[in-house]
Order: sequence, then structure tokens, then C-alpha cells
Amino acid sequence: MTKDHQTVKPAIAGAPPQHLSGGLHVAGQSRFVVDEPRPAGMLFAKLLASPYARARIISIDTAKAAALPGVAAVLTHRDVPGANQIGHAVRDEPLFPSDETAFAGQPVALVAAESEAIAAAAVGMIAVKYQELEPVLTIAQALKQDLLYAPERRIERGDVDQALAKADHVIEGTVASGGQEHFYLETQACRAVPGEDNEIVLYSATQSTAEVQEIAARVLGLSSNDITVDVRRLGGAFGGKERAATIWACLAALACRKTRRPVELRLERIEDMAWTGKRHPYESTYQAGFTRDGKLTAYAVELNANGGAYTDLSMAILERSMLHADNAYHIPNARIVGRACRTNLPPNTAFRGFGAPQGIFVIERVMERIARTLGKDPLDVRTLNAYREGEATPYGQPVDEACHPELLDRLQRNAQYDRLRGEVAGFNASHRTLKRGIGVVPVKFGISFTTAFLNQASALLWVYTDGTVSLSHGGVEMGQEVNTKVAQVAAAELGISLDRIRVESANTKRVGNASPTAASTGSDLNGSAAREAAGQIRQRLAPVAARLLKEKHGIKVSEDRLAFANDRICDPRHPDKPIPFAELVHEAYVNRVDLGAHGFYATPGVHFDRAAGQGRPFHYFVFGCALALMEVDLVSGNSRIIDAHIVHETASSLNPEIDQGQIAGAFIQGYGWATFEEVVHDAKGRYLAVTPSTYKIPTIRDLPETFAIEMVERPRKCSSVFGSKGIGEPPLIYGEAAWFGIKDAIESLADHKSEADLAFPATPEAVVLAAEKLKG
Amino acid sequence: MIAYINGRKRVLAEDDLGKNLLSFLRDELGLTGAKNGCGIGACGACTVLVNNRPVRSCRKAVADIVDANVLTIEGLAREDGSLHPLQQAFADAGAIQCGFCTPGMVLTAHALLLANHEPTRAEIRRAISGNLCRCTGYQQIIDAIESAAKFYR
Ligand code: FES
Ligand code: FES
Repeated sequence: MTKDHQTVKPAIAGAPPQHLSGGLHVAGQSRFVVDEPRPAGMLFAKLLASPYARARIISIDTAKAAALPGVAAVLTHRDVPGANQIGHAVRDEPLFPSDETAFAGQPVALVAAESEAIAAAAVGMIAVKYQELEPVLTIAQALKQDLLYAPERRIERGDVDQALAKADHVIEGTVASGGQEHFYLETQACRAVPGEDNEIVLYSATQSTAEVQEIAARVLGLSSNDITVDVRRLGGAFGGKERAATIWACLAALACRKTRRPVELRLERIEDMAWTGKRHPYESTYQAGFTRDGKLTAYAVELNANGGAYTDLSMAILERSMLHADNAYHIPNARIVGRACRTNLPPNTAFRGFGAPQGIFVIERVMERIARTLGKDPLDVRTLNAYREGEATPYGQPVDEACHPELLDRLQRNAQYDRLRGEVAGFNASHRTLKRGIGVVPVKFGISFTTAFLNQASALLWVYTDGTVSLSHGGVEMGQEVNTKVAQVAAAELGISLDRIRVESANTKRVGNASPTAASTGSDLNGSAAREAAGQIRQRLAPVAARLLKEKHGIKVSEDRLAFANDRICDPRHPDKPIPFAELVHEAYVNRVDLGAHGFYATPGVHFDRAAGQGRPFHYFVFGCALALMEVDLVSGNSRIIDAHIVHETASSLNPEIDQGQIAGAFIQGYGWATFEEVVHDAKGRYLAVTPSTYKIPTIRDLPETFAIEMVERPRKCSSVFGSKGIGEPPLIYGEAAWFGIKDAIESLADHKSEADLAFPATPEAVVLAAEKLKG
Repeated sequence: MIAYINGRKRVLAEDDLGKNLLSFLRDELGLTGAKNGCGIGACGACTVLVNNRPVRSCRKAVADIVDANVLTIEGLAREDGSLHPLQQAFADAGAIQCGFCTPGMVLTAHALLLANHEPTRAEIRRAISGNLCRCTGYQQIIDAIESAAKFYR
């Protein structure tokens, strides 16, 4: 058995704290980028953004702005010393556009000045002449003009056409889902501080330290070792700072390089909402064939994503959509086609779930239609189609330890499903305009970056002579408590208490080439690397401990039988005669034993052949399901969530409290996406809802009355460090249950015999419209 | 002109009065616990208490705190630096993820509990309905406030 498959719970002295920084947060002492004391002479940067989604830049006149007292620099594409290119996977994105703008909100010029007010005034003095061009905004427009980021991708299994021809029933349809604003509470920010020689330190609010380092160096014409990226924590990110933080860091770096002074660039909320990319809207079409019992036999789906103005992460996001097009269901014959469209919206980007929620939504619609077609309960159809142990996905990976039938069963029991159905029917019979409905969504989510090489991580661990530990790893803390979990792993491996460990900021000098903290892999990868580092230290300490036990207590014990626990090392047969950890460390030091270790981890066995659409892209799957009881007012269209039940298999959770928080927060975020968070732009491609007053995210009023989360803890072979599983993204998809609950409520108008044509998100207007249509 | 900020008397200069309160607290007094989450009074991250009432400091000027008692998150902990029971409750309940909304949440809850020692869950919801949190899903925040109420009785 490999280490990965050990399912030993880390033995940690005392209860784990839920958040290593919790005390600092509640005291207002934790520091985010712009909370650090300002370095002397720091300048403030402001940006001039393109008002047009697509326009030719005829001229940029910065003279007046540059002459304003207090302005240190006004910069445009002409001032980029290196490559004016910040694309990563694909190099198609300029730092500043030189001839044509690609989206409304694209930075065209930057001012660095002594104060924010002066910078803002100077921005207003820059004169840009544009020639407005016709933008492409929708998926339909892009498909018509064949504006794709790459040739369409395919995953195929079996013979779909034959299976469709043979099926008892065939349905087809189109499904659209909307975008979503990240609304991390901390807006995009970076501070760039010059050092000696060519050095620049970027205190960037990014999930991707290595990417920012690499691209800032490229833009400045410097080397990676000139640039240091340091991230202590983020005030939320949700994918919105994975790729989309790079541009702001590069802009700050450029201003710093040009002025040789520290520069702070922080987006105002309105700028952040108006200028940055969001969750990809999708428009998809499908054909599905199924038996008279409701078993899906053929599924052909075309998933089309609105990628926005540059490739960004769109191809990886599309890939994850395609790899989740099956969700929890075994489909013997499948054809999954994916396209990412180029449009003139801000480049859409990573957002918790990374395309999976959109792909899953389509097949969930199919499940509901099968149920309505056959007059069955949608939950029964879902259970019938759920993967059984070892059945293969369309891309050929077997679903090991599949457990949806069982989890759905638990969900039914927890929510008292049959009784609830009866109550809802009773409620609907006695109410004319208020209707209730139930939505259920199972989720199977694959863990690993589907770009296989990203599945690697490093950690750097120092034990000091007083027995305390400094731990650096490649993960970025953003509220998901990766620091707490990684520290728990190291503490367990060394048998020391958590308060001996300080987790340092993510810093490219200590941990280089770090993969983004994303794809729900942060704790898996970095925890495994930390475990590796701690294991090396333990191995080096063992002979010293064995010698000390002999000298001090006359105990003869072989090194591999030593117990490291509770800050002490002992022979398990003589627990009363231990060596304190600090004493052992000091002894090791004076005997010239290396007390620093670099740990490395690469997820074994993951691979995916894109051309063939086959492989084993995921280390393991996360399984769970959710139920939402919804109420809608058919007159106003308003809906509310009454109850939510979630069953989620956590395997051997490193920290159940943290996992519970992730599940709850993700569910509410997904619920917002599915029901009332609406991203809208005008005919010119400018986002309209750009403040929290106009773009509604869930508030505490949107919390269900009953919010019951069952975490199924049990040892699983397919899991990661200490038998745990990733947690960040999958529960967001549970929020789709709210959408299905609203749909179910509306369909009570037609006795659940026909389907409501409900838009996504299920805004009040969408609800009213769908109800009117259904009434005919 | 004076104001009492976290119990300490502070003389305000004439040309301070027109300044934005959030910027003044953060940039001039170094009280960076209050966060700028939106700058337009719509998220609650900048909340401080003025005479025990929650106020969106991003929408106030220094003139608004003349002669007033201002409490920022830095002033809530005990003299000896130990956490206030409400802060402890937030930490214990797991009511924190990224922590960016936390200072505003804690202070808004503090104002509620000063005025109402036994709030119902509905009252707690109402009191903090203007404070946005994108991470937690709020459930643990309600739990934290509810469990801390006893310390105010
Ligand atoms: S920053 Fe003041 S309410 Fe948002
Ligand atoms: S904890 Fe992140 S916004 Fe509330």
C-alpha cells in the first residue's frame, strides 16, 4: 500500500483549531495585501479602462496626465520593456492592448501617482481616440462566425447513434446556464516593492504564485529569479484569483519597475465587478435515449462555453465540463463535444467547480425529463442511473468505490422524503399562488488537475533548535484552511502539537514552481508534500532518539519502532520514559543532523489523452448529494429555500469542522448562482450589475431554516493524504438542487406531467415567465 | 474637537473633518481591521461602532465622529490582549473562513448583543443581514452570535 492509501487519522494533541488564523481574524490583526504597513514612498496606481467591448485604438495622448503634479508615471503598451503578453496556457493576451481592445474594462493605460486621488484625476486626463467596432457577445454569434479557442473537443464511448436509434424513448433539447460574479470580499490587489538590482517583490492577491512570477518576469524582460511573489492570505478567491490576478500583479510590477518605487494597485469594487471575468455561461444541446424503465442508454451532448476575450483557462474549464457531463450516471453510449467561444466579454475564468457545474446541469435536466416523460419520481430515475462500483466513465476511468445509490438512500431518510413529498403535495393543493417543490442533485466530482503535470507540490520544513517548526508549502490560504490542514499533517507525522508549527506565507523563494491552489487539490498536494518533508526529518531524528533512549533510560529499541506523539518520542513499551521533542531536536543539531527538509509529491497514475478523449484524469472521485425544499410565489416570482439536506462522503476527513464549513459555504454560493445571481450586460458588452446593491449575492436571509449536513466519514481506498478527500468545489454543485426545487414547484401547476421552461438562474422574472408558459 | 477611539481620546484637526472615515482609520491611525469591501455602503466589511451603533465607515466622514465613542475591531479585545467572548465564539464556531468580512460581522453582532441580550435567531439574521460574507454560508455565524449572547447578560 502506498502512503496515499493509509487511512490512519492524524493523531493530533488536543482538538484541532478550525483555523490557524482564526484568532487573528476575529481580532482584526490578520493582514491582507493592503493592510500591511505602507512602505516609504509608495505610489498608487489607477487604470484607464476601455469603454468599448471592441474598438480600434487610434491614439493615446498621455501628456496632460503626465504633467499633473504628483504623477510619477503614465504607462501604456508602449512602455512594456519585455513581452506585452500575459497569456499562460495560450499566449494570446496582451498586458495593454496596442491596436484593438477586446473587452469593455480592458486596461488601456495606468497612472502611478502620490495619492489615489491624483492618480484618478490623471486617468481622467488621458485622451484616447477609439473607433468602435461591432463586438461579438453571445455564444450563438461566436459559433456562427466560428470563433473558437481551439477545434472542438470530443469524448466518445460506445455507439451513440445506434443506441439512439434503438432506444425506447429519445428526447432532445437545449440547456443554458448563466455566469456568476466571484464577489470575493477582498478585491484584486497587488503591491510591488523594488529591491536591489533588478529585484521586485510582488505582494499579490493571487492563487498562483509561480504564474505571477513567470509572467511578471516576461513582461518586464527580467528573469524569474528577479521576481519574488509572496502571498500571506486572500480575502476569498473562488477561482477568481487563479489566473485573473496575474494582470493586476503585472501592472503593479510594471509601474514599480518604471518608477523604482513601491506601487499599490487595488481595484475598487465597481472596477472589479465591471472589468473582471466570471463563471462561463454555457449553451448546450443534447439528445438522450432511454429505456421504458428510465435507464439512459445514449447521450449526445454539445457543450458550448462563452470564453470571453482571451483563452485564459477556458480550454481547461471546458475539459472539466466534458469530464463531468456524465455526473453520477453510467452511460453506455456517449458522445461529448465541447467548444469554447471567443467573445468580447472580459475573459471568463476559473470559478469554484471549474466547468463541472455547467456540464452537470445539462445531464441533470435530462434526468428530470426522463422522469417527467415516464411519470416517475426524478429521484428514482437518478438512483436507477447512478454508477455502480467499477462502471466506466465515458473517458474510460472506472468509478471505484461508487456509492450514490447508498448516499441517495441516506438523503431520502434524512429528509424523510416520502413524507416531505406528501406534505408538499398537500401544501400545493391548498395554495394558489404559493407553491413548493423539491429538488435533488447527486454530485460526482473528479479530483486532480486534468492537466496532469500540475499535480505536483513542494513543501519546505525547518525544525529550529527550540523544537518549533517553520513550514512553507505551495498552497495559498484563502479561507479554505489549507494552512491548517497542511500543518495538521506535518504535526501528525512528527508527533508534535500544532502550536509548534508556524505556516509561512506562500513565497516563490521558499517554494518555487507551485501549481495554482485550485481544483480542490490544495490540501491533497501540499499536505502530501509536507508529509514527505516531515517524514524525512523524522527519519533523521530516529537514530538520535534511539541513542538518547539508551543513554538516558537504558532502553534498547530499534529506530522503526519509535513512537512520535504528544511532543515526545518513546519506545511504545516504555511510554513513561520519553525524550521530549525539543530535547531530541537540540541533540540532533549539536550532532550536525540536517533539520531542514524539502518534500515533494506528484500524484501517481493520473493521465489523460486529449486527442483520444480517454484516460484516468482523476486520482479519485468525491461523492455526495443534496436536496432542497423550495417555495415560490408565482405572482412575484420570488422564491425562498426552506430546507436543505446534504449527504457528503468525506472519507477520513482531516478536519470535519473545516469540511463542514466548506460544504455549507459552497452550497450557499451554488444556490445563489442557480437562483438569483444574474450576470447581465448591455448590447455593447458592458456589465450592468457592478455593485453589491445591484448584483445580489446570498445574505444571511437566504439561509434555509433547516440546513442539515451529514458527512459520511469512512475509510476509502481512493483518497489522498491520511485517507482524506478534497472538499472545496464539489458542494457548490449541490446548489443546483434549489433550481430543480423551483422547477418542481412550478410544475405542480401541471400536475408534474409536463416540464416548466425555466431559465437559469431562476430569477423572479424567470419564474413568472415559466409559470405563465406552463399555464398556457 | 475630539473623538474617543477605542477608549482613547484623540484630538481631531480641522482638516481631518472632511476625510473619509474608513481611510482615516486605516491609513492614518493604522486601524486596518476595518476593510474596504465595496466603498459604497453595501457590504458591511468597513463596519465600526459609533456610540455603540454599527456604522459603515466608508460612507462617513471624520466629522461624523466628533465627540463620539468609536469602537473598531482592534478595541474589542480585552486590555491584556485576550479575545472578547464574542470573538472567541466566532473562532470556536468556525464562523470564519477568509476572515475579510469578520471584523465587520463581529462588530455588528456586538452592537446587537449590547442592545439585546437574548436575540432570537430571526433577530440575529435581521441584525446582520447587511453584512455580506461570500465564504461561510452564514450558518456558523448565527451559531457564534447565539452562543456568545450569554456573556452580555
Ligand atoms: S466597504 Fe463600507 S459597506 Fe462595503
Ligand atoms: S469569511 Fe470570507 S467573506 Fe466572510
